Amino acid sequence: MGDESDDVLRVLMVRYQAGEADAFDALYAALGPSLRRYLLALARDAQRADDLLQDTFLQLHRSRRTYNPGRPVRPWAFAVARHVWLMDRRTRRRKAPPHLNLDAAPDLPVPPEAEGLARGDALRRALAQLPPDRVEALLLHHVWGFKFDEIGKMLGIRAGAARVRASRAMAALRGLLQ
Amino acid sequence: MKTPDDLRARITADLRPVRPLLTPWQRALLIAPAAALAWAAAPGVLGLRGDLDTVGPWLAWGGSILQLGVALALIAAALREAVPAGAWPRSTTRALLAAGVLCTVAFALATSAASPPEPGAHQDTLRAWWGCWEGAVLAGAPLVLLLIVLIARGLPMRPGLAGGLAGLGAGAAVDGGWRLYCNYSSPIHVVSSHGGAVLALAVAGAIAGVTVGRLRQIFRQEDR
Repeated sequence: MGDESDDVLRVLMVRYQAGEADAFDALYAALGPSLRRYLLALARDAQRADDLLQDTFLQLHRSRRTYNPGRPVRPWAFAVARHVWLMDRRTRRRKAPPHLNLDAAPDLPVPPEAEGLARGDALRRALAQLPPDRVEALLLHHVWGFKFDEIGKMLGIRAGAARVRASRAMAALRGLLQ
Repeated sequence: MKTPDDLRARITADLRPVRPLLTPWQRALLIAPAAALAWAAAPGVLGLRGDLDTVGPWLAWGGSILQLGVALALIAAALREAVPAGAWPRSTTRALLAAGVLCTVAFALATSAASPPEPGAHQDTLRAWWGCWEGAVLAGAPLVLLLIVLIARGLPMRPGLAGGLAGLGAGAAVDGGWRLYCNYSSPIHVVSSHGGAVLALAVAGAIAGVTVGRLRQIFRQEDR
């Protein structure tokens, strides 16, 4: 995953809440890459994912008091990223309908469990054809290693429902690749 | 991954120590005295209903306190909604919303059965209906306002739902006390007037929550 352990992130978050700028840099370095990939999986556009990443860290900053040091950092940070994406999507829907170019498949993260199904490009194109909210639970679990109860809290659903979503997305992916 | 310079400059300019929010349950417990105040408003200021003995202590006081408990659970759910990755599942939230509504209706029917209204009683007028509705809304409004401020201090993923839960929680707290005061137990009066006040507070909370979400979105766009 490339992320630091949550204990390290918790210490950084507590230092950040105490007002240490260096802790923010360390959090950016630790969380930035995985948050960018998550936002890319949701937004399906590299430029938008970069913009949303900046917005996410601004929102993390504004909402830093909502982080409870007794809880893991990553589900909280991913939930804030999701919130930023949802707000952005809502604004864009009002302005213009979203356009998805399937020929230029974005560099979506690929679940290790799906790697045997097809070559990288075909797999990414198939992932890009699935709606973001369908593929989200699959990626959160298989790529970033979140437990289903953590995913449930991030998405506002039960752990069982998160498991079902991930499993249906995997089945849909298999269906597209056969 | 290095922090972009412009982002770092903006963060550094605004960086100051913050105290983490208490957990939603701790915040709900801190709000409990305010909820209890809303609950006690009608019986404390206007007095207790005359047929309290007929209704019986379990149904009157027990039901009322149970309703206050449901109100606190709704308030805790609203505060949880305001914390990223802290919300309860939709099914739990729906069950709580249903419990809030069902409490009002079920206690109205049970009270009506225990102490049937006298036919043609003077309360069966639009004035009595309006008095109960207006009084309950006024008693619950400060609590809704307080809860919306607390929700706005967090980051609700579903601000309309967070506000609606807060409004319903405030409404349930007020209604729990209101039934100790209003001695007219006609189901039509209780469901439409008392229940209408609970509904009005829930809708007001939801609208306030959505407004908070929209304002946050506007400020975020301007801040880019």
